[in-house]
Amino acid sequence: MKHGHLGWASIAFGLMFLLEALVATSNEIPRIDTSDMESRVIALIEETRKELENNIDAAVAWGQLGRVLHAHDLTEAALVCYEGAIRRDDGDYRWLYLAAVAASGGSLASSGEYFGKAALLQPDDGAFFIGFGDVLTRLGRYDEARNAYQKAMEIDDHSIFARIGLARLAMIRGGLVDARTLLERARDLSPRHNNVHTLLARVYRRLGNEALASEALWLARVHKKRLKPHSPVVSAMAGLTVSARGYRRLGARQADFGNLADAESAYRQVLIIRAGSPGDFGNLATVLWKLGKHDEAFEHFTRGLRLNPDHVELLSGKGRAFVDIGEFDRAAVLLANAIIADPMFAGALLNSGVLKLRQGRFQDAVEHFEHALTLDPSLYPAYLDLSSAYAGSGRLEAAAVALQRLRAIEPDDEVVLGKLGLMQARRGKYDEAIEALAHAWELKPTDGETAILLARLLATAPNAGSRDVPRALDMAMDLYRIRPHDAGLADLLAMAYAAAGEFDKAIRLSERAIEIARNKPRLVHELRMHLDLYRSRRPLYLPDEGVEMALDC
Amino acid sequence: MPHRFFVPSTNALAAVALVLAGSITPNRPLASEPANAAIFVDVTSQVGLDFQHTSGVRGTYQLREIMGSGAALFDYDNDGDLDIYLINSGDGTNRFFEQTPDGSFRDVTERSGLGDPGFGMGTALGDIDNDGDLDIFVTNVGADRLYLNDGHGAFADITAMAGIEGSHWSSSAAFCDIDGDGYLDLYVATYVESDTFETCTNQAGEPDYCPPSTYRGVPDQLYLNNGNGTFKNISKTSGISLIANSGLGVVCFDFSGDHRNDVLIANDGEPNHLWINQGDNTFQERGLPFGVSVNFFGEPEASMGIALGDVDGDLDLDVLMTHIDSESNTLYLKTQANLLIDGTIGADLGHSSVPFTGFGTVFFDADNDGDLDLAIANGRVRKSPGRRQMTGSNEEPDEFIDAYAENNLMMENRGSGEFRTICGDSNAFCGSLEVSRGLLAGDIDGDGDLDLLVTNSNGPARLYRNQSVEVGEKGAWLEIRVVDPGLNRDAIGALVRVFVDGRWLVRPVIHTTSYLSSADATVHFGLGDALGVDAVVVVWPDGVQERFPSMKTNHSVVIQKGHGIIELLSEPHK
Repeated sequence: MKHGHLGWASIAFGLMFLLEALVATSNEIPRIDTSDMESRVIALIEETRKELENNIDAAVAWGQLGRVLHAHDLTEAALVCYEGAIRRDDGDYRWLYLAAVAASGGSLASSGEYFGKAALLQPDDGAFFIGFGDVLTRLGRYDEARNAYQKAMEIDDHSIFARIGLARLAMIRGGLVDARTLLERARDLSPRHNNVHTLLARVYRRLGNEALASEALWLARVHKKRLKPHSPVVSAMAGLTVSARGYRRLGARQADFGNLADAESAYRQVLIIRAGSPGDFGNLATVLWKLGKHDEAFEHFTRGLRLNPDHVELLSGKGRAFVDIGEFDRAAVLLANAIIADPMFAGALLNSGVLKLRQGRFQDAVEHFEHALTLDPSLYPAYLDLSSAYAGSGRLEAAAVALQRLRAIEPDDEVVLGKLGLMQARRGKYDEAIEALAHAWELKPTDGETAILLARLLATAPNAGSRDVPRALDMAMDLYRIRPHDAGLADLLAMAYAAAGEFDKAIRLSERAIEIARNKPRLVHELRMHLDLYRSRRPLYLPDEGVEMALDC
Repeated sequence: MPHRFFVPSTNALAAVALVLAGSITPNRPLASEPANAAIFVDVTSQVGLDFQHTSGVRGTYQLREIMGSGAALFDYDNDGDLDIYLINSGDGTNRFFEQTPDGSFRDVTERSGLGDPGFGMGTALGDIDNDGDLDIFVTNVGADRLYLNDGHGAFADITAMAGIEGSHWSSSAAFCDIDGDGYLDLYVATYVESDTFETCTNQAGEPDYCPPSTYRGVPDQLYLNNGNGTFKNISKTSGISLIANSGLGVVCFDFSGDHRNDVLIANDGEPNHLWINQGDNTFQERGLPFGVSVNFFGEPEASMGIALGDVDGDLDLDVLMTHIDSESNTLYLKTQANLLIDGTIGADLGHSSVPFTGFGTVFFDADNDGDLDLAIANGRVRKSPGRRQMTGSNEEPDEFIDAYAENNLMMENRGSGEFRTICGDSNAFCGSLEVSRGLLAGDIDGDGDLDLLVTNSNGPARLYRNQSVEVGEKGAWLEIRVVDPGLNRDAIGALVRVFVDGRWLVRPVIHTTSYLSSADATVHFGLGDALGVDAVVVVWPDGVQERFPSMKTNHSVVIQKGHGIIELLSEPHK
């Protein structure tokens, strides 16, 4: 074709920037039609605008209006303001950086130019260089992108995102082995990063390793979150939002991080600003419930359901709330309705499973949990509840398998490891139990419950090869030193001494344990049995077939 | 317009031998001058295509208002020209326009029986009863419709009798033979659940359409054609309904190389799905391992439409998916190992599309130079706050258009799979500022180049005539319809390859492509300066590979299965 004309996009953006340049030089603040906007947004824009009018030569005032506009997605007007700030202070990389971010949704070339100018100021900001590298990559400027990612790595040697960027560049150039090395290191640094697993799956597949590719694919499926580099500059800008949508996003982010009080605050703002949709009520109700504000949570669940009686998340959430307070009949109705409304919603199946579990209907619970996990294998609580349901029905091996499935997803979660260790101990699989508990304890040495169980198994496992009496003794002494008035710990140390053949010490500690537990007849009864063993110069060993024990033993 | 197809003779084996000896140079245009002009002129009014889409915009911002609608471009009466079926959503019904011998269009909706009043989304064409004419499936928000073509200008609504139970928000759909029994089965992509309870605002607090993540996705549906006018819903047993998704675009083709039809789904805001046919009426979702679920950055995108074609001349079918603004459109290049690798950046397709929200898309040879160019219908789904003031267009009376309209994009393939924008003054396709959705290419005026049909949300359907021939800058061409006489219909799922000037070109035989749209399955080859093609090879859907003799350029031909020379499957034509 002979048409060598510029594309419409290029023309439009060229005109846009020409307009912006004219505006910036003339000190003219961009006018925004705020007529359809929320009143808080209007007020904030007007207030910031007035600040700028009063400080028309101040770069910070221009930048601040740019940030306020940018925070509300008014990116074109924001760019004009950032230009105004840059013209007045070209030594502050923040305005160039934010201009680059604002431009990236429309013109990658312009974004790259802003980034490039900012990079000359050599900011000590890893997220900046990641963003720069990403834009350069999208523009096909691979060598420059590589430099940007390497700069990010210089700033933060542990940068996952720099490694991901470099790995992508390696993939483009066919350097699959290099890409694999970079991504495996990134995975080690951040095992729950969806992007890493996704890219690793591709690399493994292209390298012909189907087994590793399948494993990476599975991990990509269960780790759904795609993390982004944290940029204080961009976060500060985004934090200026005062719109309902902005607060809703903020609430979701805070809830994600477990900051429930902050999430509650943000979700309340949403309902102050607007009448509220079923989703708005559901968000607040869920957070309120987790905070223990049950009455108010029920009220918001109900308000949401009044707007949409078939809202699956609301039905499921309210149903779960009823489960938690023991109103099983009401819970059953709501959860059944949720599943009818959307049979594919794993959350409702999970909550329904919890209801069956609490009712002691273990097989029903198992079916619900398994179904939920088929639909959404990333539903972590379902694995734990599934294990409990299997255990409740006496199927300990299946219970352990459920936990092993979760361990495959979360290999370094001490809670999962602790529960797995306990389950293996119940099955009499003491080596497996010790391995899991030792790993859990390594991850969290301050976890007393895990330490107690591990020390007990190390001292009392029936197979001599499984026992590590010196280690058990060390652990038991440490624990007893911390809590010398705990009958269980005195008993534990007695077990360790007995295992070491030091029966006199075992007897003294066992007597001490009985003294401490004197008001607990059942425990005293058990401790006396232990004491009798030691007096007859015999250590306490667990039975081969496994033993019932609790983590809080 | 007279029927313009003829059947070639089958005895030119000498030409075949010449082909086998020929060298292959896949990455250069066939024209001696690399750039012929593609000039598109809006002839909508001129040809009497009088259709105004409505979607019931009433200020309540229901998502359905902004998503439709599509079209069908096909020869319903086998008279040799293409007719146009346009889907409507709000007030009024779908409309059907028949092309008359003088190239104009007349509304035959009433006579055809295709005036479905449902809240329309898209179409799927297919000859479901193998009687030689095309039937049509209409997707709606609510009950879908299946219309059987009686071959005499009328369609009968056989939805209930056929057992099609759709009641969700169906988007794109495709007919293809899933089980290899010769009858076309039906895949229906579904979007999200009811959109009536949520109201959304944008980041500035202006009322706007909600993103799809506000709603729950709905599992797609798969119907097996029983061969007797009825269908069996096998969504559950096939595995398709095990995953809920927000599907918009559909292409049914063999992506895994086992000669079974697989289904690629463009999902909005979540990973795309590639359902691989296991051969026993079950499917496995393998989008991630095949490389098409997320882009190069490992990110899922808001996928809308799909184009299928070989853009880099390696005889593998590549995929382009259109996306929302701030995301680029994404080109997945197929490798010989059947992997799809994101080649957007290398093809220079990324940055040019970032400002736009793409929906309908087609690979087509706009300038008849042998390589596939690209057209994209754009239109926003979310307001750009403050945009109106910055562009100074605040006097625009139509608020919907003002907030959501965008220009379309056309990209020229420079012959090596790299693209450049070609939206010059003579290209009316790019010039109109509308909320475009459906897009189809077809030789509507029968002059050997491909014209474009665009549907616009709350706007007119537009027909852009390719005027290359009028200005004398068009290359040679060949249009081929491939028919399986045993089935008495187009061989949907076949691949057609032609050998010309030392180079193989390939086109897929499919109806459904783009976004919410479907078209005649005739394949079009631009041939540049060539005087003829040295050979034609058809890979039929069952994998049988058949070679046909040389053909002259500038003709429309019909190729029938069994009239050529059967070849070994394993021969690589690369």
